[in-house]
Amino acid sequence: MSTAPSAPLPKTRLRRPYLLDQLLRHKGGAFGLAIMALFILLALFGRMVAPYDPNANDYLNLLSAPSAQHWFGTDELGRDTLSRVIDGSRIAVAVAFLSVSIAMAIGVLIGVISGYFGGMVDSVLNRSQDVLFAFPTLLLAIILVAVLGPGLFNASLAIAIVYSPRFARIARASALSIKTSEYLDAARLAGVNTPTILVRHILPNVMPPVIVLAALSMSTAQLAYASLSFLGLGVSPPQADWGSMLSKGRDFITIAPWLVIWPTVALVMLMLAFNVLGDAIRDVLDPSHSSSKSTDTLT
Amino acid sequence: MLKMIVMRLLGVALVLLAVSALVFAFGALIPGDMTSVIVGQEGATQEQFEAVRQRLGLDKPLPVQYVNWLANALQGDFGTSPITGRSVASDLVRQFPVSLELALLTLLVSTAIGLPAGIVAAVHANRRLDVLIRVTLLFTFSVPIFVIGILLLLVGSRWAPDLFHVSFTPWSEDPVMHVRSMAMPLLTIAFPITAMTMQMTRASMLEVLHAPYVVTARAGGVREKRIEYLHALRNALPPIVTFIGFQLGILLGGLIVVEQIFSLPGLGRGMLEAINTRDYPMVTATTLVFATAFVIINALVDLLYPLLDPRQRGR
Repeated sequence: MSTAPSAPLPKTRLRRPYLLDQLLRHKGGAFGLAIMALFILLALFGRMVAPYDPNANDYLNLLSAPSAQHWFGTDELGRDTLSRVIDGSRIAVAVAFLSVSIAMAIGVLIGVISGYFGGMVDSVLNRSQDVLFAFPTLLLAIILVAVLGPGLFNASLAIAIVYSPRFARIARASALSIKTSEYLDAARLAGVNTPTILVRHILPNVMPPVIVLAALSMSTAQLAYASLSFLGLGVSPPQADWGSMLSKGRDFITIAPWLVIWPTVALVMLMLAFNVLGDAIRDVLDPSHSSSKSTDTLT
Repeated sequence: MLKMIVMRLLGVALVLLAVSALVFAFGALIPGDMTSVIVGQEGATQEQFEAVRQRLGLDKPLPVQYVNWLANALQGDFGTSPITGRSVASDLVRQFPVSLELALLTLLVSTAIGLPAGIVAAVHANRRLDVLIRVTLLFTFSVPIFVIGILLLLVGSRWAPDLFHVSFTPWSEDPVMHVRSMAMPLLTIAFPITAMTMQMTRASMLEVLHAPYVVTARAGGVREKRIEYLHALRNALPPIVTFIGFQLGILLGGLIVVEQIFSLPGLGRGMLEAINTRDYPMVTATTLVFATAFVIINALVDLLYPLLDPRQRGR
């Protein structure tokens, strides 16, 4: 019907969430996302692609070197290292997300309450967190695991408690700066009750810096857990777990170096991905920040 | 100045008190009970159980137990280990020097290498040498200490067997063996700490290298080396020193890991062993020593600050 020359349509891009879009354009962000996606897929579907059952012993193939049957070799019980490295990614990914989410939840709750109400509540919450800062981070994590008991959730909870004061500080600072803004006065005058103000008006404005911190904390949390697991405070055997694989493999380091090499490669790749992705998310959400790096890692 | 020092010390004492309470609480919260460790789960009658509880003071309310524990601890008495049968204090005296030596050597090595390397990196900012240093740093930050330890073991077992198959030997027994047994642990923990010192020095130096007084000095014809090491470094130092205190937390955590990798009989290993064997007095004692050391050294760094930065003295 229309005979008008088909004018070149303006190229419309598929709508992607803003953050994802920006991250994919960011060189480091795309790289980090790709590696992280790989590990998440391995964590979810690893059992299907793993060539062997990660916990199956094979006494005819103890400590056998990498070969066509066992690409990454086998350990002292004949278990396939490749399958165990893949299975270990479940724990690694789960702990990183679980511990950072819990730390964020505790920290934001405390920080917002502390910043919004101020006064005595603020002082008490601040002082009690100062006491937590008086412990070296790994030491605190270790003693918390000793109190809570071992296991995936408890280790994550311990790491979360160690890191929650950082989230609380950031959330408190934002809450303080928003508290006196005019739109909050307006909300209060309009009779909005306090819980609604906290959830609907304070929380959304507190989140951006908190999300940046969360992204940067993923690698630290992952590292913290690997250290705990290396020290024998992670999930219980026989569940494959990179940290404990490394600590066990140490005993066979001269005769079976593949036992320590592959978990290390996996661990370092995931941490690198978290690091790069964290930096990318900060660049995207907080352009004012120069790229200096926070270095307070647990080990 | 004096008043400030007194106030700071008071603050430190308060923090230490809170820390000790928390450590005691942790000890009390760890599942299980020292009585059952001593008596054993089976075979003990209720009366025997109660007798041991009474002897240990565990029948008293927790606040009373805390005060007793703290009073004894202040006199250097941490009780007797139900596992080893030795007094906890004697174990601490044996373990503490090992950890202290490793910590001090690490600070020495990391400062001796990291500080000059950071200055070089800052002076040559964004040139090839600097880029090389920074790539190494990125790698170091992505690697946990135990991975560095394992990699060193891997390399060491092939190329330096002299340093590899060495169990810990005290200096008093055989100095040569002692140095050999400490080399790998020191290398492991000094690696990341040196990298951090270097990065902090670089950042701090970069900030002052373009300060007006440096430009003035340069315009006045002061030699470049003199500018870098005298004018710039002097002003770059306060944040670096603060950072060294900040590293300490990482250093202490690293000690626990390194002692475990290389089977060094230090405090960190003692603490882990105690956690695994449910050696309650030992767990609280080692935790308290670690936390106290951390708080005190951080306080010392705080006090050092005005000495380095005259602007801080008035406050």
